[in-house]
Amino acid sequence: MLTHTHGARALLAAAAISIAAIASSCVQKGDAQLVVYAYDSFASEWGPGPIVIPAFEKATGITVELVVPGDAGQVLARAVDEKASPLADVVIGVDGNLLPKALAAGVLSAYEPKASASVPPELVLDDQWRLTPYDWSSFCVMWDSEKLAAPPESLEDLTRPEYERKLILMDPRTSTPGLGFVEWTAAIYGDGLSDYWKRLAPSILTMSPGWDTGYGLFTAGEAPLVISYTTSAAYHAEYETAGRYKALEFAEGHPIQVEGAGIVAGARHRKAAEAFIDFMLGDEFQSALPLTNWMYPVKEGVALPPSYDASRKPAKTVSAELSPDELDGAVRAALDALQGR
Amino acid sequence: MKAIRSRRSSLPAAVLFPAFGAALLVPLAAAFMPLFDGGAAANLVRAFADPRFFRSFAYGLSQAAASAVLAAAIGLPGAFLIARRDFPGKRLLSALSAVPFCVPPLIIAVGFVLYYGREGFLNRALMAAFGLDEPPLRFLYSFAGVVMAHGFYNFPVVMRFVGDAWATAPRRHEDAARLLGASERRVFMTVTLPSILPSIGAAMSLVFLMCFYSFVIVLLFGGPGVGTPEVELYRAARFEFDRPLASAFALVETAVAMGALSLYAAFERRAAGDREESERGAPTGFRGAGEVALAALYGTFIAVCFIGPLASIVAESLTIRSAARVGSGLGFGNYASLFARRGFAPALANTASLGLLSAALASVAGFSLSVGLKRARSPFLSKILPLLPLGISGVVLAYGWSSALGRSSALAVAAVQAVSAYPFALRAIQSSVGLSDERYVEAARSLGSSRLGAALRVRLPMAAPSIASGFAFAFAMSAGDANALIAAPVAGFETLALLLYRLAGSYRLNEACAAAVVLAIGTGFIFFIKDASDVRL
Repeated sequence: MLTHTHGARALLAAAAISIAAIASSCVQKGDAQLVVYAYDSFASEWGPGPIVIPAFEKATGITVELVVPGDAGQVLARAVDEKASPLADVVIGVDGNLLPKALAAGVLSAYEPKASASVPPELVLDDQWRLTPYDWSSFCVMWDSEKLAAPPESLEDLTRPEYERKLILMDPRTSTPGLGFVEWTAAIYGDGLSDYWKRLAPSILTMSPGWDTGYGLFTAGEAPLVISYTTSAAYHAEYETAGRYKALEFAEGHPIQVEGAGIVAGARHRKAAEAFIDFMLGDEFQSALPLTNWMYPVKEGVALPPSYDASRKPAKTVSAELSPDELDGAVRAALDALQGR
Repeated sequence: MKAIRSRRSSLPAAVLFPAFGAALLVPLAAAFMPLFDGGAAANLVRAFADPRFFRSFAYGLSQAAASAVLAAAIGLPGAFLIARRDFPGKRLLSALSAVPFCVPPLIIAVGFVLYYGREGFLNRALMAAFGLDEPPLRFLYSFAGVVMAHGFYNFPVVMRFVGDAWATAPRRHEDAARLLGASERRVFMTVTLPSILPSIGAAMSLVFLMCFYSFVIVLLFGGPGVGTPEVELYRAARFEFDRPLASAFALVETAVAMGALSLYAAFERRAAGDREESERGAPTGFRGAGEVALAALYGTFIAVCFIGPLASIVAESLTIRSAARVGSGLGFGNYASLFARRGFAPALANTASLGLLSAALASVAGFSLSVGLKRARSPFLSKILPLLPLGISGVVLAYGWSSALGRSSALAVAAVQAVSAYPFALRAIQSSVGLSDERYVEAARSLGSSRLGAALRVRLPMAAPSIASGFAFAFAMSAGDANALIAAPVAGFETLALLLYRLAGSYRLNEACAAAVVLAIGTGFIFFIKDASDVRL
């Protein structure tokens, strides 16, 4: 019995300490002059957040509260939920697929940054500048040159029998690169999308729920081909030497993903938000992106680190130009084709 | 006098029960609210009109049922060994119970790939041994692969649940049957089996529920394009922002889960009834060489099929990829860089405090409520409501939490995790003799103790080992759970589980495996200690 009483006391003490510890970690910054919502990997230890946010605070004297509602979809969902009385001033991480939803919900307001001319026109997703792009990359198939001698040279090649169960995709229902690949096939094959996916089916080893699992299987050697970004090759070049993993360029061209940030409609700190968008297109912010977000900066003339020599920008860019409904239809067609229906 | 006493005694339950109900029902209501956006009927029709939805239901139900059967087949011999035999390595086997609760499915999936995959350890070993050119094991990316992964991932649940029941199955009856000349086989079939059957049913319904909501493993191994209701729900909520449709999916999905849940509750009620006449006998050594051989066979099977994938995670965490990526060596480099991260120490501290807090909440509430619930009349209140967290999808709860909590705090996250872990704490605590045997309480009360006093001085000490067991479960679940924090993130508050997901999402799979090992050792350790204290009792 004695040990039990001790145990109970120790338990109570541990609970009390943990309450104190947790309560002390919950102190909120209430006096921030700018509230920024960003997605998880942007704000993480390896993301651009720890570099660019302090740099912005130093340059402008504006204090920032960085809030992380989750992934990019959750960032936007939170902003939509708070539309009536917005807490955020800036949302970071809206891409081409999320933009129509953001515009339909009316949560973004226009601001054309001072350096808008330095962004190439093909990266500008909204001509009213309700969204300002900050980085981009091309979707591509990554190749493990040690496990596979002859890589495919086109989307069509992927359907050949020698690549049977050699390709890892991500599920378009749960992952951005997965959706990007469906969009890619829609851009190249149009109405022939369903047929293409029927021919592709034998080559697919699996469709992972997220990029992390799929790419993990790829580096574990489970299959020699995976859908990712061309800038993945730069990552490997930065930390590894042999160039085992290469980005494949396909003759048909590649779709791109552009990420942007926008000022929230009815933002409480409008001026500070505008200063942030301007800072975002500055050299300090832009040059932090390649080695933290592993994407290309949008601004022309920003020097890239040497590891980016491994990540060639594809010569040809394609876009399916689909409306959200059409994209959803393409996802259904692809999945139905895989299920043999 | 008596009336006053009973009112005083039900006070803690009267406060805690509504609090727990609110902590569960508020986010649930928040999650289902969008259903009425544009008419509930219209949204339900929209959900049913989608053929994909039925297809995914058929798949979800069949894989969950098959997985529950496999988990039971693997778990039952283990339950017997844990309950009735003493042997070296028993505590290790028992500590595996932490795995389904604290090792995230992402890591389990990776472990299965590293072990059973085309380039996995087992295939390479078989190819080398038999001189094969192609990997012989190719079941992984199929229905069988999903069921295998689920069955092995969840067999410790069956082992634990049934083992607890088996350990306390009334020996007197078995001995009586033996005295009357019944064979061992007959004793098992007519005495032992009926007494453990409810716990088998309860464990299987629980595994069914966990597999029905499984996400990563189904998508990864189920074959391209396969779907479960959870996947369709996720797509509607996250990619299409169609919350009314997501709510409609969630409602149907929850209805199915409630069926499994009532089954679980019914089995549990019968199991709890049996426990009332339970007695804990000491396990014995093996009887005869045949038993030793069978046990060794079982141990080898578990080691090859289940420990193998887990060991692959450990091996991966120790694998240092050379800069050239051509070869790799072994070493603690991944651990060194993990420990050196500035986020690591705070994450460790946060995991410990969050886990301790939610486990303390869950077990305090579990104890108070299991005393209080003994006298509750309404079957919904006393049986189903406390189990509701089991029957609700992680995506739904996460969504409900984030919309109900708004700007969340770590305290709220602890409350949320306590609610999720609470069914397990309650179950462990309800199994204790101190709660089921009224004689001691009656004795204390006849000596003048109040009901509350009797609860604290008699029931609490008697229930202490079961409370510790519930605490260990709740701690493991809370420490391994990243969903609550992903759904309702708290600025600057990182935990190990969250760090693990971030590592896996940023080209650092080996380091993520190291984080998983740290997490599993930390939570498995609690089970280890807990079982050690059981031995002493």
